[in-house]
Amino acid sequence: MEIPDYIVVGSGCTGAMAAQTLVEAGASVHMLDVGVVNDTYASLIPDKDFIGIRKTEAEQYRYWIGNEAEGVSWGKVKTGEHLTPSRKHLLQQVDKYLPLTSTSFFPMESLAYGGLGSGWGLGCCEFSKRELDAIGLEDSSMKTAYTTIAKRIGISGTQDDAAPFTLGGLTDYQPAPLMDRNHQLLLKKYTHHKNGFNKRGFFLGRPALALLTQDKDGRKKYAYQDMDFYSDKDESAYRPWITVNQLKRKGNFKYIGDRLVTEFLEHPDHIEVYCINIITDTTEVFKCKKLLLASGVLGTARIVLRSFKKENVKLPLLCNPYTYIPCIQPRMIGKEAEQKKMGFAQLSLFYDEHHTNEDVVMASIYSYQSLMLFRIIKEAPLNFVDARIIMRYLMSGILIMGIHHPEQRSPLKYLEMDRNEDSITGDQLKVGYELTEEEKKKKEEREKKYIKVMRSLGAYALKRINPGYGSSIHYAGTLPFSKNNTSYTLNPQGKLNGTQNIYVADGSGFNYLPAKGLTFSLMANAHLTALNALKSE
Amino acid sequence: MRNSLLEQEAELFSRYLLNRSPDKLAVELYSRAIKQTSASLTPQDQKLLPFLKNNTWSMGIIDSGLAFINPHSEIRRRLYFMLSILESIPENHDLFLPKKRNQLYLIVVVYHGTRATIKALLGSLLIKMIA
Ligand SMILES: Cc1cc2nc3c(=O)[nH]c(=O)nc-3n(C[C@H](O)[C@H](O)[C@H](O)COP(=O)(O)OP(=O)(O)OC[C@H]3O[C@@H](n4cnc5c(N)ncnc54)[C@H](O)[C@@H]3O)c2cc1C
Repeated sequence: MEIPDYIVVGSGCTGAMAAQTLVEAGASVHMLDVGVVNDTYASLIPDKDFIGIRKTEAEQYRYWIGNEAEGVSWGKVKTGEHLTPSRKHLLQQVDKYLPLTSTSFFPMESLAYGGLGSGWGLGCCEFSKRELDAIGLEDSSMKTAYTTIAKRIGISGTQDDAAPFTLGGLTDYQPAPLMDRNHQLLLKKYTHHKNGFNKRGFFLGRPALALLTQDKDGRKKYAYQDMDFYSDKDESAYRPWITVNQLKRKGNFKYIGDRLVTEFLEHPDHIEVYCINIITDTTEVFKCKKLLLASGVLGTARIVLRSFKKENVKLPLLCNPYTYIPCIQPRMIGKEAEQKKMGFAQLSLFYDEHHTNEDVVMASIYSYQSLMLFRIIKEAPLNFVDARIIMRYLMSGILIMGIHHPEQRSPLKYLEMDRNEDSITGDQLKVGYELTEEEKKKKEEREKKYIKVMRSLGAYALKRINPGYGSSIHYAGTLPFSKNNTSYTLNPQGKLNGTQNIYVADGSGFNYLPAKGLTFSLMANAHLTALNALKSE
Repeated sequence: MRNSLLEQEAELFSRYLLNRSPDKLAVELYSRAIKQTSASLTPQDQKLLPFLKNNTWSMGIIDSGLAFINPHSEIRRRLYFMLSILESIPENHDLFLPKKRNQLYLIVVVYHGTRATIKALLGSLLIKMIA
């Protein structure tokens, strides 16, 4: 059998982008992936808006709560367990194949076809030059790469106060989607008192989203059906499997699913990639000339640690601390449900303390409707009967603000490989994650400022929920970029130091993690890494 | 036998939550959900559940009390499952989707908040007496 030029591991945002670059350059590419798919619910969802479905569809319980009530979570739940039934497959097989132990860090990993990108919130941000420098990425090539990725996935946004943090230098984008009344009111108040907010370092505006508001490449524009947590029917939201499905039609690309890559072995003229076939439970070996790992930051760390076979290695880890704050906007309570609505973030509130576009804090703001009333009723310390009446009345005025904080490396944030004879791979990741007292204090202060600003905008915080480290689902930094040829680092081109032909295309190389959504930058970096791999031929 | 007990429970909970009798589907979904996600009853739940079934008037008080002192109790979990099922039935949409209300409705909301708080206090006492 012919050895392909490249094997790409993973079908997530980074794997899809790296593979597309390689395939377009004419290289032969095999993609190894676990690739869990579950169409049980998606195929049942009618082409109607949320309210229309609520009023008429007899079998709607299936996609709201699931055939086995798996969409109803109770008590303290793990990161990601709040996913709706049609997104639950993102978590399937993870406990079995990606065991992880920690007392402080509870991440969400995915072995789904399309990875975490099959459920991501589409928020896209260009990182500033200062942020890219801190990460270890080169500004001008990243700016070009952002343009390439935006063309591929389709971005909507607008030039407003948030644009320097979101669209950055992008010129090719579609108009921002319509906003609901809840967000319109907030933005109106901000616009009236804009100078005051700006002086305090706060900037409010529309997020850039990987969401189409105009048809593009066979994908449909967004239809405001408010079914974003359940269905991708019109493909208006970018999901990496859209790219992989397109690549499957090319002669030089082959997708090989149901394979869990465990380790690699580099030879002078080829690389062996070891996998577990998860259907037959047997070990298989694939060969390639070059290997691109895009298995998610934690997934790639597992593969690299196993392959280098050194004991007691601790790798650094970065993950944005995350807090969410349900707020109530009194002007909106008691209003009727809106038919045309959207579940994605509609506003972003940035806190740029020093007006430098560095160490910026980001909050995404969402309305609450299609996740159903029962989920918020649970949060009220009241009996369910009175809670239903009260929460229903408040619902139209509820805004959820999710705050991401920027993150630096520290010895308190690390992972290592541990033996676990019960796991299929004989090991597990062990993670330690703590903020320093100084970091905790800073986080607290910033959140208080956010609460104050929201109050000035007419929205009042109900409570502050800290879901724990790992819950931001933004991971990076395990194999940091380094110009010194040290082990467990990447060179600036994304090549794993100590190897000849092994590249890492996900966020493992980031030396710093800005609070702004990282995935757009992950995709741009994956594209650049693939270009670097091509160049080195 | 177990099935019929769960069916009775579904009827009781639905009447309490929405003042509506559950349809066949809701009863079936409730029974299935509780079987699928079976969690054992704590000694407190074991005493409270039969009391609730024999004294349906106490549902609101016990629910309020539990929300206050033991919000993750098995009884609350079962009520929550029933509530989510009821919300997923199209005939009940009028009780869950936001509706236009005039400002006077705030009085109703304040009434419900106060009622819930009083019930929580009474419920805490009642629970201590029973379990
Ligand atoms: C609900 C949600 C909302 C989010 N919202 C945003 C947002 O608004 N903005 C933002 O920037 N980010 C957001 N994110 C984060 C974003 O989804 C991730 O940063 C991004 O998808 C990571 O892509 P990746 O390719 O690096 O890794 P992953 O998505 O983790 O992909 C890894 C891939 O590798 C495969 N894989 C893993 N291990 C192996 C193995 N050993 N062998 C074979 N295959 C393997 C998996 O099957 C998967 O296909 C969100 C995430 C979630 C879940």
